Amino acid sequence: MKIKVVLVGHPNVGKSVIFNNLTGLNAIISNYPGTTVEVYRGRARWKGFTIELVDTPGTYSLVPTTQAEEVTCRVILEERPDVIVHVADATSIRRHLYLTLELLELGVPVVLVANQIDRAEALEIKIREEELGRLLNIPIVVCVATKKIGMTPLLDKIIEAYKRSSIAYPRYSKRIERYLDLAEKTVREKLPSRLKHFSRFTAVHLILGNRVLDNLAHTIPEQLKVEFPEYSRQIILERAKMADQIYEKAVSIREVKHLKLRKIDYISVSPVFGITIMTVLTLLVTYSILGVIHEIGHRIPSTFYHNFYEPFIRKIIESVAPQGLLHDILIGEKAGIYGSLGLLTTGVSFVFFMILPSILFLYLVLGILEDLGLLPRIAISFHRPLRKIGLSGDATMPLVAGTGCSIVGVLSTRILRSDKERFTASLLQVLGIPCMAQQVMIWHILGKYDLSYISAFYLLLLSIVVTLGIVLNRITPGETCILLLELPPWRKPQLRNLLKKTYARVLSFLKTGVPLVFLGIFIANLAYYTGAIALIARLFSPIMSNLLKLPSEVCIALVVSILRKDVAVGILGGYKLTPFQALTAVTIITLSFPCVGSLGIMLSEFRVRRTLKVIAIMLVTSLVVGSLLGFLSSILG
Amino acid sequence: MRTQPLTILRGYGIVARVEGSSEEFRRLLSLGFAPGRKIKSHVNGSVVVVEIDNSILVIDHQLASKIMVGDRYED
Repeated sequence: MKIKVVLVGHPNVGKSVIFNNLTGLNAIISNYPGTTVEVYRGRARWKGFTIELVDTPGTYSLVPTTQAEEVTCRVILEERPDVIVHVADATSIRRHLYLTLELLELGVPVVLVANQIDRAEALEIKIREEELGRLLNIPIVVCVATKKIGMTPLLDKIIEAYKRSSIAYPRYSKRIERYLDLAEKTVREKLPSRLKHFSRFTAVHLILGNRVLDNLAHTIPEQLKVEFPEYSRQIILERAKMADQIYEKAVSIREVKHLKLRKIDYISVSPVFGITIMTVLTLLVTYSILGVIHEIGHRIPSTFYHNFYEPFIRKIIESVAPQGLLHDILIGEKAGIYGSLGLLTTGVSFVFFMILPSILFLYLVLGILEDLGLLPRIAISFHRPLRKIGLSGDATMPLVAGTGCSIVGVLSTRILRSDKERFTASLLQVLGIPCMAQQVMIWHILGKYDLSYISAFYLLLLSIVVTLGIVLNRITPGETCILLLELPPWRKPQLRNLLKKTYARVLSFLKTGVPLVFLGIFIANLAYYTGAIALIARLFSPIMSNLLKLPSEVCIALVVSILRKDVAVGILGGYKLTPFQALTAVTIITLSFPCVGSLGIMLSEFRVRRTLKVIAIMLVTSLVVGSLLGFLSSILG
Repeated sequence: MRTQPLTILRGYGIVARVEGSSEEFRRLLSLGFAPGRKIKSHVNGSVVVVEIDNSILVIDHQLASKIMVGDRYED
């Protein structure tokens, strides 16, 4: 028999640890349809039951204010779980009871898990489980998820909750109940059958203004809607009061012990010191990681590729298809990682020798930073400056990760809460943050003229990113980035949890991103084979010479930049360019078009329409900036 | 009772009431800023760092100004 269970709770309460404890290694990670928010699914077998678990993003309420919270609410309404497991932090259980009461309004059996009971006991917080269970009329489990304590009782309580027939809704004052009855009756008749079970929840949440139920707002007559604002505040206040009353009866504290912030916490929230220290720390961490990635993810595999892999695969394919289309599609006309464009040569080397090792390292480090509790602290200190370009402090790490490889950077934006923020951060890094390999080539090309050209290049990019960010922030609809986060305690990362999270994320990349990278290489190869690339180069040469004041052969570098920007910048070394022309060419190669890998990831993360939007913005920006630089070049000679 | 916004609080206080839009009101209460809850302001600068029920929350100045604190709460 199957029991469908959804895990719900505030962020950082240990949901994922419980999920991992219960499911073992069979988790499947997927993006919720139409969004980029991750949902984990897994299975556990217990006493003849198959328990299907869904781990949802952290939420404080079922009335969402972020995309991640919206996904949690939608998962519950669409999956129609048999049991909801609400994971709460035992040390601050009063704050969590508000969500428990909200979940009870769904009419679905709930199990309340008080995690970190050891820490609560250390703080002399006593939770009387039986009393709490009686007051809420649900099973209670206390546990220490990181030590796997309480997992067996949790499985038992899930089955117990599943078998329970009576669900008690939280009861409000008579006045609110009368109003709710009226709203529920009106709504029930017009609800689609899949939502009939949630009629009370729907009525409450229409009053509270839950955007997930916006499509049902028409079911309530206008005369009832007039009173929504007043009743909405009353419901929220009464729910909070109910939570307090339950807490007073079921929880006792011998002596309130106030938390002490560490010095690093005080420093991280002070604007000047925080930003300075965190910038140094972030750059140190990132560049040391990127150094490792460059060594392990590029140099070693590159040696293996040239000496063993490519000669081996070339020999096999040439024995089957010595020449022709199949030969060129599979291993390319020429040898070499960048030059061949074959699926089994360039494709395999891009995915398995370059991107995958980088992703593996970066996900591991991101996971450690997440689990350690460092990310929220970095987010706080960078929040203010980033807010001006429509991002929250959380975007710091993905932006820094983008200096390694924009593919990794775009994938790292999954930690961001709003869709607007994810899109802006991805666009800004694809457009204005060159990858490490490209930066090495830029230093090589511009450095031979003067270091001031390198500084000019970076200042130019920074001003473009800031200007574009400010404009995008003004014109893009979406959530504003208000800082409101819980500072988690410093924690030692759990190796098992870390490995499982990294494994699930890498697997997700292999399934969704890799086919698109191969597709991009296939198309580029076909364009070369059919002569389309040469035609494009010829078509754009007037723009090159007249508008950008560059020699027409730069077109070839620009076309190659679609495949690899570092190679494209390297090609410039073979042309006779003035220093200003080199600066212009390097800038437009950076700005003009995402490389094929980034394009694949953008497609996989943001689909066709928004990827086209990114390309349009990049082309317009590069044309405007390139023309300005061309104009300056003609004045300065 | 004399109340003041959380942005002015130094040290301990009790949430008296929450102001602001419906969304802000809902958000703050779901996070734990319910009338009657004891809080302690740790940092009051560009952001407000406040302790409530054994949790540390970091809030924008703008949002913190919607939380009125006093020495008791208003029903």
